[in-house]
Amino acid sequence: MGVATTPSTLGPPSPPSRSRYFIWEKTAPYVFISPFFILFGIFGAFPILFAIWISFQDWKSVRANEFVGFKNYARLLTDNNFHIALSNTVILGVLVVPLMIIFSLSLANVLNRPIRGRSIYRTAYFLPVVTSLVVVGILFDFFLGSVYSPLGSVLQIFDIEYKGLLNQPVYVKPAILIMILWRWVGYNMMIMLAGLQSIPAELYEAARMDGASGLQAFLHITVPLMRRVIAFAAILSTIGMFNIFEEAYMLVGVGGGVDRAGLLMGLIIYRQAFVSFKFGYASALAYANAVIIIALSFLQIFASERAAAE
Amino acid sequence: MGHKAEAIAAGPDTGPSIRWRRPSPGQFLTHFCLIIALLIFIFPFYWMVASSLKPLADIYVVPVQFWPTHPTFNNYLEIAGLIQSDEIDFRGGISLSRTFLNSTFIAVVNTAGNVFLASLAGYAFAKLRFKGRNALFLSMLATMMIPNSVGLVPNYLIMAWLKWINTWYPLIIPGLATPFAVFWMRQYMTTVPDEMIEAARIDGCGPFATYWRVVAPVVLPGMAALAIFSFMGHWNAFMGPLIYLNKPELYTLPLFLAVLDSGVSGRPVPLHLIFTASFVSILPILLIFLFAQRYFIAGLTAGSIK
Repeated sequence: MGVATTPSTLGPPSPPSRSRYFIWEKTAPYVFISPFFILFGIFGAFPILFAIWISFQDWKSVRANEFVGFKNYARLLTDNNFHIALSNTVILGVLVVPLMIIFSLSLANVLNRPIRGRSIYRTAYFLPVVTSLVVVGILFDFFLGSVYSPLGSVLQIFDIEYKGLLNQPVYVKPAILIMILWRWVGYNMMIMLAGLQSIPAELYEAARMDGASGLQAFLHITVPLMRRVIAFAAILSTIGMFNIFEEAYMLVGVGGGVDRAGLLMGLIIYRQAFVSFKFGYASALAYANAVIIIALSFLQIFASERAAAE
Repeated sequence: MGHKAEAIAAGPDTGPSIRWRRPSPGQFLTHFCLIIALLIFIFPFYWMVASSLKPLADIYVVPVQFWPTHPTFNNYLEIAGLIQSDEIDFRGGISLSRTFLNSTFIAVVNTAGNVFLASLAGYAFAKLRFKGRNALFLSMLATMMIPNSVGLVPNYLIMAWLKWINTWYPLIIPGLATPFAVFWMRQYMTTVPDEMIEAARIDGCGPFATYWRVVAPVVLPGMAALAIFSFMGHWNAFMGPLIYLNKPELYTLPLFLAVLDSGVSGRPVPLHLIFTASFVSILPILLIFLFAQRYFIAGLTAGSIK
């Protein structure tokens, strides 16, 4: 490059170096993106297509496979574990998403006001978000599962006998629900805060002049204007529900806990792949999961846009 | 968009100063609720630290001790491998010190590589013109819709064919190239004025020198946010190590925790060590978070604002 730009006493820059410079200018973009795209191609993009092929095979080991057509997909229809995991995931999702939005939007709404100590509150609420999921799983396994949990002492004050919650099927889903909310409310609160700050303050001022109460302003200004942000948070939570693995693995184990009450999609995919080594069926499960996630995301976007049109 | 998230994260915390007035019942109620929520979010952390200072006998006791009555640092010494420990010997003799170094190495290499590759590609996508630019970028974005679980089995087969099982390569190499990182860096790069790049080229900078000497320094905050985000992801990663590693000397922190948590028959689960190791394992991230909150929140909530 230096050669090309330094004025030479021998006349204009020599043609070969100039053309080399020109070629570098043209090829540089490809050189810049290729380290990324080579790695991403092998370990990111190719596996997505490769998984389709894998899902049509029966695998005896990592090198022995046999084409079986739609057998793995047909098995989805009769696999009890898949049906339980899917219904558990949907039930939990239906509970998690609205609660997540209510809690995070309320907290964000309060912390958007100039309140004393709000940076302390914000930091504290965000702490679980930066905590390792394995640690989250370990902590809640102890708090909600162990007889030596402080929860037992608290319940004793009210004369309630406590023997741990995770060994009783009815409490497994609430336990997972509590764990998810604890871990993610702070994250959604930050998303909501970002949205709230884009609402012009004059709108609230005008509403107050018209005699609207705080609640009315919240329902008629905040909620409609936050629709997109709320939809975004709802989509993220839904996707998250179908991808949960680490916390659930630590909390209820790969089998989904007592009565399979905590069996989730993330757990059965892992289990089929790396406990049973059914690579073909695991890939079919993963693709079914992906299709459900994408369909639900589009559905939520569609619903939110339609609500806006009305 | 990243900037917006960042502005919020930086927040007007010191904001307009509020004069002290007697709180109205409504304000009182608000603070009451906020403090209850604060206690719920903080309590597990408190319990983890308090338990890390208790001997095992004081954890396996009813009624529970809300405060360590016989505080000791032995758990820390034991988990670090500084005093003899049956629990560690039963599980392959690898201490927290070793796994801490393993995790540090993997996370640092990954973060450095990820930021470098993503910023280079992000620069090309944001500022250079070339054939197929939009098509490549859009198809990369499209793959982000596919959940990671789809890639689990194919990646395992690839790693098995490469004979990379029980090595760190599966944990390092794929993590170097993530679409989110490129997307994030590209968004940052678009904010760099074209005149700046033009000026650099007139001054004789070639394409790489322009990136390295002119653009990279300007987008350093974006790189910092990405680095923190990426470091945290790799530090906390569990599924990869769970799938690919079964030699104790290769364990990362989360895998070490999971192995501690699995019982050895006939012995109580070593909760004293588990709480201690959990606390030590989240400490680096907590510290980074407290000192670089702004970048943290920007990176984690990226993409939320259209």
